[in-house]
Amino acid sequence: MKKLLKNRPITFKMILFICSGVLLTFIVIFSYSYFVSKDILNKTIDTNANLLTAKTAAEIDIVLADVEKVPQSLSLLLSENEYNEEQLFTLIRLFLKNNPQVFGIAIAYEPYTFNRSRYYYSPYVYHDNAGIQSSFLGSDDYNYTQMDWFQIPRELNKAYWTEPYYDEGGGNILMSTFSMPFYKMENGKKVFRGIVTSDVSLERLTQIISNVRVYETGYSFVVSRFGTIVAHPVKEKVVNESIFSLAEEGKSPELREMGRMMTSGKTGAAKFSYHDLLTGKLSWIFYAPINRNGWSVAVIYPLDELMADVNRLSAFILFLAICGVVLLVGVIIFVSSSITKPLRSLAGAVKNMAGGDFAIELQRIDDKDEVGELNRSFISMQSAIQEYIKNLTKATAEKEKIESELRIAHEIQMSIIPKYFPAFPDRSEIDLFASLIPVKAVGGDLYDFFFIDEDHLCLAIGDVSGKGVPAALFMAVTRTLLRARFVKGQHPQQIVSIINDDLCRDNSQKMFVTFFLGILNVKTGEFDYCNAGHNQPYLYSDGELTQLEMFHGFPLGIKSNTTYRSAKTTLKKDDLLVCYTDGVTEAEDANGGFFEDAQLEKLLLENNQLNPSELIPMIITAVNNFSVGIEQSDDITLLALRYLQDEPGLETAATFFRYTIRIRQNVAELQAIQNELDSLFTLWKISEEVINDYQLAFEELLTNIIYYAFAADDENIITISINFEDGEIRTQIEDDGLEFNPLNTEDPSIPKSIHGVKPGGLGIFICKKILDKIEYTRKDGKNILTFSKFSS
Amino acid sequence: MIINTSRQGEIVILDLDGRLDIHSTEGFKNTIQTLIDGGFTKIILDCNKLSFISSAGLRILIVAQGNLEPKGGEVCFFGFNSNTRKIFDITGYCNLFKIFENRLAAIEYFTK
Repeated sequence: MKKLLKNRPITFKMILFICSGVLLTFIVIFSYSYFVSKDILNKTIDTNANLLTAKTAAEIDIVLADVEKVPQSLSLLLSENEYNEEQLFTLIRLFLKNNPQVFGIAIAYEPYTFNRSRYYYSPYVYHDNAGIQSSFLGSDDYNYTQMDWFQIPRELNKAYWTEPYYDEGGGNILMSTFSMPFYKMENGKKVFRGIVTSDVSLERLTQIISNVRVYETGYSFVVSRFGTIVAHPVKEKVVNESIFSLAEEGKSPELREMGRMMTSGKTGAAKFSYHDLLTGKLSWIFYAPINRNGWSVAVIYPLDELMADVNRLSAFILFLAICGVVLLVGVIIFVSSSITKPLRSLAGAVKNMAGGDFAIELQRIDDKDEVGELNRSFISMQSAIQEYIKNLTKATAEKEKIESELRIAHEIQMSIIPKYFPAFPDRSEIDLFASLIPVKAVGGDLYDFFFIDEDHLCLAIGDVSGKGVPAALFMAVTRTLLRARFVKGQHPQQIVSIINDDLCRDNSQKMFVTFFLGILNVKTGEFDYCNAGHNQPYLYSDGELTQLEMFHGFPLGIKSNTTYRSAKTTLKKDDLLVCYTDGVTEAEDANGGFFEDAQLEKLLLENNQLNPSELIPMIITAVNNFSVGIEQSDDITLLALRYLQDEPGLETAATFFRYTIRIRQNVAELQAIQNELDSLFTLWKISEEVINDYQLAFEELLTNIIYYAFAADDENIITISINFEDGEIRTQIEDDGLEFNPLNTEDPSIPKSIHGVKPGGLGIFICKKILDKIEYTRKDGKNILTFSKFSS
Repeated sequence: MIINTSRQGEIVILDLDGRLDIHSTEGFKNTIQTLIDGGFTKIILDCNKLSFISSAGLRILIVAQGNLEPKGGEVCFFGFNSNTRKIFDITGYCNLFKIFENRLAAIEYFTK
């Protein structure tokens, strides 16, 4: 039911609910009204039917009374007077004429009493078609002394109504006769003389009951005190049938019961399911007695006609109800359609809107009701959606524009890095591969490699802080500077230092780039490199994976005049160098964990035999698998190089250190270099004693230069180059200070006492003593001091 | 360079740990000067952990020795290694300072 209603329009639901309610109410009212009116009608019918039945009985009674009157009067006359034959006839003719209800009158004398010679003597007058006829009753065929009408009153000495009978030989009609004895007083004694009779024609009674109209087909009939039909609309039944024979014939015990009630002189109504024998209709029968002679009158009421009024009333009410319901349905349809019409048009419009037509005109409903409210809400929603779509379209267009710009930036970024491999197909010394997987938003990673000359390959990798177009531009600038500022013969730290200064200038965005720059001598495997805050590259050599030893400098672009230091190593055949950006090690998985150095190291160890062009895609795949489901957050860049040149031999492998420092007249700056030299010499496996001597000489010489060659407030540049070759630590110190030759000082004499000590020249004196070589030249406005110390 | 100071009577023993170079001279100079100003005249330098000495360091020692001599005081050493000893030899400063084999010898020198 619920489901059935769910898919129906509102009109249907309203009709269903309202009409059901109205119909239910109507049925209750109708039923009540029907039963009440039926009850009233029943009572009315009872009253009316009883009245009608009584009236019919009374009418018949009047006739019978008129009939009785004649014998009563005649019997008195005959008792008092003696009449001759002619007088008798005149008398009864007169009575007959004056009593139209009477069919015939007879005076039947006891045999031989009127005339001693005549057994039968009974003058008789009666009506026939021609008028009043006279005759005598009595013959051998018609022995009236044997007739009921004569015999019974004579024996009973009182008046008597005969059962209806056919008077054959007399009136020759169906009749009932009222008989009354008359007497003669003889010697003070009443002597029976005869019977005076008056006949009533049953046809006459039938006429009377025929006048009783009971609706259309109702009728009445009369029965005698024994149940014989006395009067009935169907003539054949009169006398020939009794109510009991009818009951027998109709197999109706109720009718028989009613017959008993009628013959016992009761008044009443039989309201049983009786199909009348005459009409066949379901009928009620009312009956009332005629007390005069014990007859009973019955009136048949056909039930349908009785109830016709009630039924007519009900039908009319039903008609009104149907009209009302039809009218109601019409009103509901009108009302609901006036409600739902705007709703439907609204729904149609909204459906179109849902289909994408947001510009569709919504019909405006100015009603102040809920529908109007809904309509206004929809209109404002539509304009809000239109506005939103407008904004969205604009925003999308802007986003597309930005994305297109980002794409272009990305293309520019990718276009400036070398990405065709093998990059140097004609170089057998190296196998190089690099890959940069940029984030969608354009990151700032870069790598670069190029041959400076026949033997020297420059490698660079970097990572700009931040992402997006600024990062890409900064990356492009860095890479351009690398190419533009690169001067053949310069060392990595010089180039890095220059790029740093360039980047620091006008770096309003405060961006920076971590940068690793290396220069590989592909012939010897010597690899000079300098690191500006970048991840330490890995070196796989002799089955061992290490991070390149290096000095860490600030990332580029943070602080100008920053000191950068190169370090150096020598690659052997099959060594594998792997540079990467933090996009690899800081790739995140779904739980926020990082890929970590450890995993990268594990991969490198396990796959060290792979070519760079196999290794890098493998690592990238591993990183992608690690970050599956997570959007890449940073550029992933890897550069791998396998050195393939045969070992040039350790003897010829030179070791080199170069360091450029911008310095004021402040010896404190030396501290860091001295520390580095310690570790560098340890790296070079130089004995502690030699290191000590060297450090002493280094300090003495540098201190001299700083104190004597530099002016108090100036900033000067010192470049220190240290070359360790064939057991000789050869050092060149180049500065742009005032011309100053430290070797020009006089050696101090060996002091004999504390008072003879001269402070000057002590340091240079020590240097001369502990160094193996020391020279000074002035060249191109620069002081160049070279000195050597042999490691053994 | 780290300097640990201990006393034995009127003798002050400075345990030098590290490098006595251009960078550590300022601190060393202040320490010595404070001792001299405080009236200490007998100063022993424990050089067992001294790895390095440069001319800058030597100058402080000369100045200190020069200041102490009029007061009847002196700076002396023990525990040189070959490097530090070499500097003293090269410069001839070994003639200007008493250099002992060990702590006991240095203390004995002053307590005599």
